[in-house]
Amino acid sequence: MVKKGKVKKEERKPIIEVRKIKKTYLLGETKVHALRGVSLNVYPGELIIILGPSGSGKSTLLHQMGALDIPTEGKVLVDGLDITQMDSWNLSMLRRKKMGFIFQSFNLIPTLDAVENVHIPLLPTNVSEVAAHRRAMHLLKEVGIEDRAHHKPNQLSGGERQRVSIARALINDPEIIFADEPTGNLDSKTGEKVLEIIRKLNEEEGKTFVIVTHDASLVEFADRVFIIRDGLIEEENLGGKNGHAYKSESVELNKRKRKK
Amino acid sequence: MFKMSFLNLLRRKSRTVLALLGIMIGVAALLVLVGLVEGINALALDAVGGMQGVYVMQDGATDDSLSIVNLSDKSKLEAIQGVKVVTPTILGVPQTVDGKRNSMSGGIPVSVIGTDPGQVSNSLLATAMQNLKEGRMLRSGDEGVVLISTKLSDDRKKHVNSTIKINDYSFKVIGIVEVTSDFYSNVIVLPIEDARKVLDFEEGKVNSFFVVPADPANVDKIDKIIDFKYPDDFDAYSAQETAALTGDILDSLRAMTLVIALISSIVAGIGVMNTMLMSVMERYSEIGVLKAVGWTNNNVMQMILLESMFLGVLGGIAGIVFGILVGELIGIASGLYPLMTPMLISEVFIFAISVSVFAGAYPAFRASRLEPIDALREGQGD
Ligand SMILES: Nc1ncnc2c1ncn2[C@@H]1O[C@H](COP(=O)(O)OP(=O)(O)OP(=O)(O)O)[C@@H](O)[C@H]1O
Ligand SMILES: [Mg+2]
Repeated sequence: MVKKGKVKKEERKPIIEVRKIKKTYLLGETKVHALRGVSLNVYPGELIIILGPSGSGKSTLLHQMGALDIPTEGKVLVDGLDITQMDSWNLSMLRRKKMGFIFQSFNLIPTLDAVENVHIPLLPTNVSEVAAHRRAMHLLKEVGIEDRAHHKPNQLSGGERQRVSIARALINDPEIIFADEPTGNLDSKTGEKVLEIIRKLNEEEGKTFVIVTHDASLVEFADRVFIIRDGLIEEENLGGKNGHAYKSESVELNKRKRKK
Repeated sequence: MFKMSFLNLLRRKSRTVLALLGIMIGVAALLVLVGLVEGINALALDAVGGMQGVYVMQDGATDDSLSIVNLSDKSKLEAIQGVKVVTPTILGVPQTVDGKRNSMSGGIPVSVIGTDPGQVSNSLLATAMQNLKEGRMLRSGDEGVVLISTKLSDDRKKHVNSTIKINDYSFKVIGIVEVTSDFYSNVIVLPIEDARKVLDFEEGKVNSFFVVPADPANVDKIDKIIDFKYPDDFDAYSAQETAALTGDILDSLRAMTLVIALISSIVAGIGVMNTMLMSVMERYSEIGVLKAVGWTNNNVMQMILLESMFLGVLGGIAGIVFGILVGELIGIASGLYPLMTPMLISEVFIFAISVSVFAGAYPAFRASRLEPIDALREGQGD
């Protein structure tokens, strides 16, 4: 059974292949090794979770996978194309066409209302204003806040803001969505609602997700869970989605840490 | 993107207003100054523009009050083929009018123009003095009588048959004329020999001649013939040339407005650049998000340039309105109205926009070069 599953996985083409990437920051004279040789693949339809203590390199890894940054060493292939060889225009196009982003601090534009924020990614494209608006409204409905469409971000609650940013991440119909601590700024109840939306998008619409989180509760929807420590992948586990009762000391650690 | 750029300007209203003020004052200053120069130019053109003849002065003289020619040379000019009439002119500014000192301090001083009384309609004044409002024109053989301008008549309460004293001589007003040019607004026209008497002008000499061709089309031809035949005696000017002469003075004024344009564009430009740089710095994380969601460097640059352009448009409109108001006030106060043609207004408008877009280029470039990742990290500081 396990074998068969594995073979099946090998046959699928990964959306993202991370190959032995290192990321070193220079802080004055000292070198900070944020990533020290990380490899992993992401397959279509997967929900991947990256867990790890603060400063372990989770965000850094996500940024390299999301073509927001270029690793110091190694390669990142998106649909087989090496992003480390791309110029900034091609990287922008790649993000525009294939990727969506959800940030911990929402990062909405304060002057624009919810719908307008949702269709920001389409502004520089030749999608018509009307079509973009219609699609944005549809997405707001999908995340359950269409009645807030004309509210400015400061008139929205944290959970509502994060839902706007999820809608924004979906507007270009991306193949893969990256989320960095999407529930980090939300209380647990609101966080659950947001996670529920993500789960539905993954399970019902087949969207691929890579999520950095402290929130171990998401592990039960995950295909695979990577534990990262000091810039290296320490463990790779199957998530609850595959029928595995998820157990990991690291996760427990994380949970405990969070309660503190 | 239009709306978004526009809304961005509304975030820090006081800062935006400051940048707008810079543009507005620059635009208004430029508009008023260039308008004043053009206004003076238009006055000068008015005075000579319709002149259907050739203005003949002493060789080397640039101004008729500095020119002295022999009255006997009149026949030389009359002998030129195609010449209909030659009228001599003596002009000057008398010391006193009606016993009162005639100085600049009382506004434009009264000037006296003496010409052949029978040929006023063929004189240099022909185009400037067209409508007789009261009385009659000068006739040949007139002596001791003058025409005065309507302004003079109003200012000094003179009517037909009033007496007016110029220096030590008294004259009777026989006609009041409307003048079309402000250059001649305070003028007394009198028979040339009376003018000689009043101004104590040397016998046998006059300031200049006005040569009227039989066919108005020949003005330029006769102008050239005079310059060619008598290069050492005369300098001849057609209307266009006279205007050009005035233009020389105006050109130096124009050069001055250019300096002012430069200064105002620097002031406005620095305002815009400062505003946009600060605005870009405050929005590092937002710009990072825009890049993360697929905006290219050029898209970001466009947004910032659009914001700068909006500043230029708004500042330009405000400056034009303000400039027109100031111009109107100057006109009411001094009588000299700046000439603000639609052409000039559109030029300063384009000027405002170009300066703003130009000044926004550097902030736009900076914004476009932000790495999405650095920009995002910046925003997480809170
Ligand atoms: N631009 C940078 N310059 C220097 N060091 C950096 C930079 N970005 C990240 N680092 C360092 O790299 C390491 C990994 O950072 P990263 O943000 O990936 O951690 P993280 O796992 O996301 O942590 P957290 O859970 O707190 O978000 C940290 O030690 C961090 O200080
Ligand atoms: Mg992080």
